[in-house]
Amino acid sequence: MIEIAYVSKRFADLEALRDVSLSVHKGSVYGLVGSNGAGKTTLLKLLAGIYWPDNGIVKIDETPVFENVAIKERTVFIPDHIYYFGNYTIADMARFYQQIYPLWNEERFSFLAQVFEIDVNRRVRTLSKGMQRQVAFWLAFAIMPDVMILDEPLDGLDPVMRQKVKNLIVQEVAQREMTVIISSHNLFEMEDICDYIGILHEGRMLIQRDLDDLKADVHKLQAAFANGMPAEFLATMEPLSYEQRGSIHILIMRGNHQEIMNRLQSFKPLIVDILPLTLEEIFIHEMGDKGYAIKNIIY
Amino acid sequence: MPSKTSFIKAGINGGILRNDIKSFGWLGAAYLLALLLSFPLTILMIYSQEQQRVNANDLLNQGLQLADHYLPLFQFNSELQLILFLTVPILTGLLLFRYLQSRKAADMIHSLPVRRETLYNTHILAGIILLFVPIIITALTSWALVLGLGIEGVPFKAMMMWLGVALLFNLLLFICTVAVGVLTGISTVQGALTYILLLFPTGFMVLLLDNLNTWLFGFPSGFYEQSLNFSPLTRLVEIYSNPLSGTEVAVYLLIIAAIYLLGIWFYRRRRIEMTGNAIAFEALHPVFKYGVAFCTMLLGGSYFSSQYSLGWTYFGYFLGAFLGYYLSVILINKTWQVFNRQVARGFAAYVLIIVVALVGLNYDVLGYEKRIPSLANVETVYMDYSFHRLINDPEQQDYYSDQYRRTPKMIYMGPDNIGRIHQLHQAIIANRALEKKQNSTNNTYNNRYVCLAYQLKNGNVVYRSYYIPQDQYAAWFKPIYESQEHKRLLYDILNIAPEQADFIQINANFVGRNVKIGSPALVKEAVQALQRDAQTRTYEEITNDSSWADIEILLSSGKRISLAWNKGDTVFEDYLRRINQLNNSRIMVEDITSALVGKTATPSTPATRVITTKEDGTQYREMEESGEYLKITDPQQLEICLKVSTFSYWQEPIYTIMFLLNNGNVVSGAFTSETIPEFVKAHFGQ
Repeated sequence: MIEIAYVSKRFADLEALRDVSLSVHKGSVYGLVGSNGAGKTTLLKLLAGIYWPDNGIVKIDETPVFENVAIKERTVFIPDHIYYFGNYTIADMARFYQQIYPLWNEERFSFLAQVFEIDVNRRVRTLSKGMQRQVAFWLAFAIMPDVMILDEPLDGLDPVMRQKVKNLIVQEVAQREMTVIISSHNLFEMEDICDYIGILHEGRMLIQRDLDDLKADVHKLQAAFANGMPAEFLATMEPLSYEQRGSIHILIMRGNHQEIMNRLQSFKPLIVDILPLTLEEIFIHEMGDKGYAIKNIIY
Repeated sequence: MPSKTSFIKAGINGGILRNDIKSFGWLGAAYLLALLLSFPLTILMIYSQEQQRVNANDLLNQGLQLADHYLPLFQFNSELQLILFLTVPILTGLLLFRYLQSRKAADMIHSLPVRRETLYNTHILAGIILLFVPIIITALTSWALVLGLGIEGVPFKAMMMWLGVALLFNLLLFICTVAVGVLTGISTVQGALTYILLLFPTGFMVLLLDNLNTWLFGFPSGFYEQSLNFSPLTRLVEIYSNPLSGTEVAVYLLIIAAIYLLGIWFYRRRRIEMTGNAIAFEALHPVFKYGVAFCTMLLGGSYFSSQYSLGWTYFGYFLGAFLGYYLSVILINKTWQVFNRQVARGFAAYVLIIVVALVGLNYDVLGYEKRIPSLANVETVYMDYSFHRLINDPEQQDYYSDQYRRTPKMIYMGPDNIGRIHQLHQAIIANRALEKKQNSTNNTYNNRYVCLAYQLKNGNVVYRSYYIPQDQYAAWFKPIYESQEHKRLLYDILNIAPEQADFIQINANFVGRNVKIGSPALVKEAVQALQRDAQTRTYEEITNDSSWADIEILLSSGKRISLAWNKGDTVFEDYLRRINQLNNSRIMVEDITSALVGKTATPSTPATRVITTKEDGTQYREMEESGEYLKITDPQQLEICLKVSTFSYWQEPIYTIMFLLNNGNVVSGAFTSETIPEFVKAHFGQ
């Protein structure tokens, strides 16, 4: 659905993106994670057809996005700084989008009024920042987009609204196979919504993974042995990381769950536990050498 | 295949258009209100005034007065209207394209499923609606008033002209603002740059001509100044006195089309991320930087050269270029920290190029100053005090000048005169080192402009203009001036047959007498006498154009010829004496009580004035009593004084003479160095 390949973008003397590639399948959610200035916003604006790349390809549905009305009619972009026309009420903005986006769904717009619970006759610019963001989602969902591009979308929303919005996104993805690309500086927040995660740092894509694969593939084990750690244990297990806390040995391992367990059992441990891994831990270990850096990138 | 409607759909987005009108409709409404105040309401006000005048039985000339009062309204003579036309289209452009200059708005609008061309076209259409609808409503309302109130003398054409010109200039100013908006990334810069660009065609040419004048001896800046007033702002202000020609309308329409296309071209290539930069295209940064530096350099040079010496002109160039260059770099880079080596190097390169160019000009590398067409290639040559009559269309003449025969353009076709003018030109060029210096010392009495236009046989025209002291070139001017060709160009009386004249009136200067001659035989004789005098007039008499009377000749064609009876015209004088009308045709010794002669205190004071106020009569008596002046009462001496006192502006007055007339008026003239009577010299001890 979304394909970005070898994209580079310079701003005057700053290289914002360099050789970035990613792809998002139809009906999935891609999380773009990175610290401030990593190039997330630039990448999303390229995808929204606002910028054009110096190099590389930015495609949705296998056609370039830039100046492509047919694609943009099915795409909605919620930027980190949202713009509303001066003195416009929510209803005015709705009329405007209705005239611009052919897939606009008036019923959907009315239905969402119950979710967001804001008076449609309020002037948008007089609303609080969080409410303005809610309005953006409200309008965006009524456009009935096939592709949603969200730049730090959950910032400024209270936890309840955050969950509501996430639910709405998940619903749309499930029901209509909407495709979503969503940026955040918070990996943790992406965990429950994204199918894919890409980490962008200083304009380069450090790593991207399918979260389901990751979670199935990387395991955190706790083990204890009667007579201390067997001599061949570490060499055999080949853990991504290893730590000893008293008599407890903690390993993070890649591989098939059952196969790892079988190998571990051969050393006859006293106890074995498989613990849940946070996304952050997975990425730190996945990235190996670069792992030390990611601690500073993602918080 | 896309149909026409789908093309229109692709060009205009209804949602964006409706949104523009919704957001900025207030601007159109305010514009309409202001225009209605400036135009139809003024018609009503004049009308109610007129009604009062009519009621006061002032019925004479009513029709003419009515037209005189209302017509200027249709000819852009309203200040409020001009102010509106000079600001509202630009404001409209700024507001409609504001979204380009704000990062949030630019991101939002460009993420919409609307192509850039569509955005551009739609906003332009919105602007046209916002500007045109109020203007059209104003025109219709005004016309309805003209018809409804029964105002006479305002033709439908005048209303249509107003409408057409108003629409044209609104569109031009608006489209300029739009195109500049595409180039810049800051609204204030857009506004400022638009006005600068609109003034640019005139301002830049004036500066360039002014500076070339300093550098190129013989550069005909007057020629270019007259033919270049394309700046829409100055042109609009001038429309009342100088209506638009068809060519100008065509040129403006072409410019509008070109600017529109240029705007699209740039919009397609605009990087939205450049929003917030003064100039949104990096490729234009050097153009902007060096363009500004060049213009401010010319400005600095003009400012300092108008008052001071050449050294100051150089200083002005450097200061102007320095300020312009660094200010534009500061604006582009959005930082004051521009005083580094890289920026300095760019400025040094510029200075180097300018120095080379100036040195080149100074040594006339192009050979411009010495270039003179070879005599064999010249077909005709124009020589006059200015290029005015060469350029200005004789068709555009007003009612007053329509009564007179058109004076011919000073174009010489005879090989003798072409050769003489060519020689004069060579003499001027040979003296150029000296003349360049004299130009700055400005001796206003002696100096004159010599404007030349050689029409070459290959169709080219060579223009030159010089400011030179005429008496130093008298040897070259004399044969030209005394040639019959020159006289036929100068004196229209030589171009008519004596039989064509019906009636002559001679109005004596300074005294209220006149002579009317209607008898065909006498009229014919008078014309013949005037023709003989004109034919035999010498160079000195032509340049010293002191006269006894003004003569009006009514021709059988209904046109008139106006000429002066010069003091040296003896044939005509004899004629008047013969018909016993001499005394009625000129001021006589008998008209004069006395005269006072004194040294001219300030040589730059104009030589002649008729002084009629009582204060001056009193002043005459005070001067008389002061004893510093030579008082003349002897009739013979008075006659000599009358004959030789001059009213010419070309020569410097050495002595001033004041005649006290019997009727109490005071007339003053002057003696130049050549015309001082012996008894005056004797009195003042020369």
